[in-house]
Amino acid sequence: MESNSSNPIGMDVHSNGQLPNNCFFNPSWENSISMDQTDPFESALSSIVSSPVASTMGPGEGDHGMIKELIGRLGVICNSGEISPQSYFEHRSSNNSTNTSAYTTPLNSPPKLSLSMMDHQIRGNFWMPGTQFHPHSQQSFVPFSTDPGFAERAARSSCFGVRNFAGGLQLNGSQRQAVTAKKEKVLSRDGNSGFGDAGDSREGSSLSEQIPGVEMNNMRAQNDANARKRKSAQRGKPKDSTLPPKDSEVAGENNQPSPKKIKSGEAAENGSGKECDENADKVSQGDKNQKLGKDSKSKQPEPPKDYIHVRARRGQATDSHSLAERVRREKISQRMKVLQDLVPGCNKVTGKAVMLDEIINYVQSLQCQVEFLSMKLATLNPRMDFNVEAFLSKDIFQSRGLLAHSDFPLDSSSAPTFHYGFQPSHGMISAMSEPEVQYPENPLNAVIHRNRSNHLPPIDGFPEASSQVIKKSSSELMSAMWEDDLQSVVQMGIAQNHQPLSFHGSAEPNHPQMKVKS
Amino acid sequence: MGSLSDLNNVSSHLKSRFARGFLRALARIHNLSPPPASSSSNQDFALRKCQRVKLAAYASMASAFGKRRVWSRAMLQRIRCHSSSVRRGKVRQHMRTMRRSGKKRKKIGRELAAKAQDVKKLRKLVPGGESMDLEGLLRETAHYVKCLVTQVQVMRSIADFCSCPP
Repeated sequence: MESNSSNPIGMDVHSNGQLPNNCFFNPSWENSISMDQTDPFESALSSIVSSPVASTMGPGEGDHGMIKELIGRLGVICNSGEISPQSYFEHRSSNNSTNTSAYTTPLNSPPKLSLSMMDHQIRGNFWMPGTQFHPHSQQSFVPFSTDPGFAERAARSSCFGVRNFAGGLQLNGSQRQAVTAKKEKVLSRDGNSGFGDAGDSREGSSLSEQIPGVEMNNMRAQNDANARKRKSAQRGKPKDSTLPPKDSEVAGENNQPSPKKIKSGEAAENGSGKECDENADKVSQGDKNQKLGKDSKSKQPEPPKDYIHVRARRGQATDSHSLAERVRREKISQRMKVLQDLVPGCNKVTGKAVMLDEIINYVQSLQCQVEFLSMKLATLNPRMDFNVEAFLSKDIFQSRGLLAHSDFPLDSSSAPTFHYGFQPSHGMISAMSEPEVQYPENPLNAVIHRNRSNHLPPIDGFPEASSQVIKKSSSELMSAMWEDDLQSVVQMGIAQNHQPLSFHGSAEPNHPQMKVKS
Repeated sequence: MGSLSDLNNVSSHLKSRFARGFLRALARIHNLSPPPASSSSNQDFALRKCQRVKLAAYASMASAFGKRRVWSRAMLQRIRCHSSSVRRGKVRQHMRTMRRSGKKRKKIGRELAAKAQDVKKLRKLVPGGESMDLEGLLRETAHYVKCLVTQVQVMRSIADFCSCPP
């Protein structure tokens, strides 16, 4: 019966080339049937196939009924790990004839529509039963008594249908290998672009964090994990017959998250999903130990509530510590890449140490610039009202361009002086002379340079060019308006600068006229 | 990269938010009447004013993010705790930190230990970085760098706007 029932599905799989990305369980379903590994699963499968329409549901609700039924079945199987729903199976099997046709219905029908309905329905119902895995409560399984997150996931996957559940059923033990393998196959066929980085997930580590109270990153991580798991199963697909240890690893990994959980991606029901996972973990652990020759994941000791799924690379240590370490390192490298993009001129630089140095330089220079600009602004008395709207409406955010091109002889006179005096430390000076900090040159070029600045003590090599610019553009036009600013700036420069400034005596705080020393 | 896209989205409205807050603060600061004439006090006043502006810049930038970022929280807390009396000390402390890190950077060669030192330096630089693991620290640093760049741009544009009136 399994073969018969599997045929329509198989055909559907092939014919329905537009299978949504989410139905990665589809192939597994076929495989699991052919695998014939576990009696309970086979019977469950058969029951599912034979009775796609739950007895409780009318024929009109083909999809819904089947889905609910499957949810119940899966939950039961997941939970107990035995053939608990066999009692179901018996009285389901009577519906073989009708079921087959009904079974194909959801496959052909636009899954998403039904799924969306189911989604709401299931979700609405899921919260009621709380947690569910009680083998004795088989009767209550009919619709949503089982893992809410489970059904949630099932509902969410677009290609939904029986396949997913069927695949999910096979999650325990070695069947999961087939599950993943199959689902990858389907995915690849469908041009699984959604989760598509079909890189070598097998080789790479995938990471998904299962934390209660999931946030977007978790969902994304889960999706990534889904993708990666699928990809790995894709790899495993060619070898599913042999099931090399790698597959077992993959499957072993899949055991933990109970791909149902991963499949959901969305974490709304993580809390309830966790319980399913806990139970699934217990079940799967036992199965894993039995069926998988070597447990390369060693994720069993992980706490059920919060575990990280990492795919072990070939030939690398797989104990939990090294896995966590690898995860951490990958995260850090990701962040470093982001920073590398931010910090200009770091594209060629490789290595964490050098990158860190560059980043530190950059941050320091930015802080320096902020201080510099703040001083500049402090001295620039606003001669006009701060018309914020007009200010923003102007293309002011191209300030860099402005500075570079403008040549305002008189206006920002304060800039160079206190810029020179601004150097707080030698360290800053070296930082300022970093290639990335070419900014300080600009205001100096754009700004009037008073003769006074000649008195400024030269600060390393940096001011050399500026002093020349200063000399060139120095002019004695001092509007009265700026005098106070200049004075205050000078004072600030005096205060800030560690070295005695020669112009100290030249500027008197309250003198209305600037004494520009030449 | 999710964080990178976040950073890109941040800058546009961050600028406006930061600009508004900062401009308001600037207006407030400028409206403060200068103390009576005396060289030292004027000097101090000018210095304080500059520091106030700087603090206002940082505060407005941090408040633009509110509690969403560790560094913004830490910065706001630092600004609040260090009231005006300590403001100068904060500036000096900030400068001292930078100076120290500069010296350290020169001393330390490209050793493996340099990386740990760099991490320490980075922790000191980024507000709130003391109590974070490396990954979080790097994330905060990225965000902080983005905000600093925005801040610098806005302030510079303001300065230009003020300096070259139309």
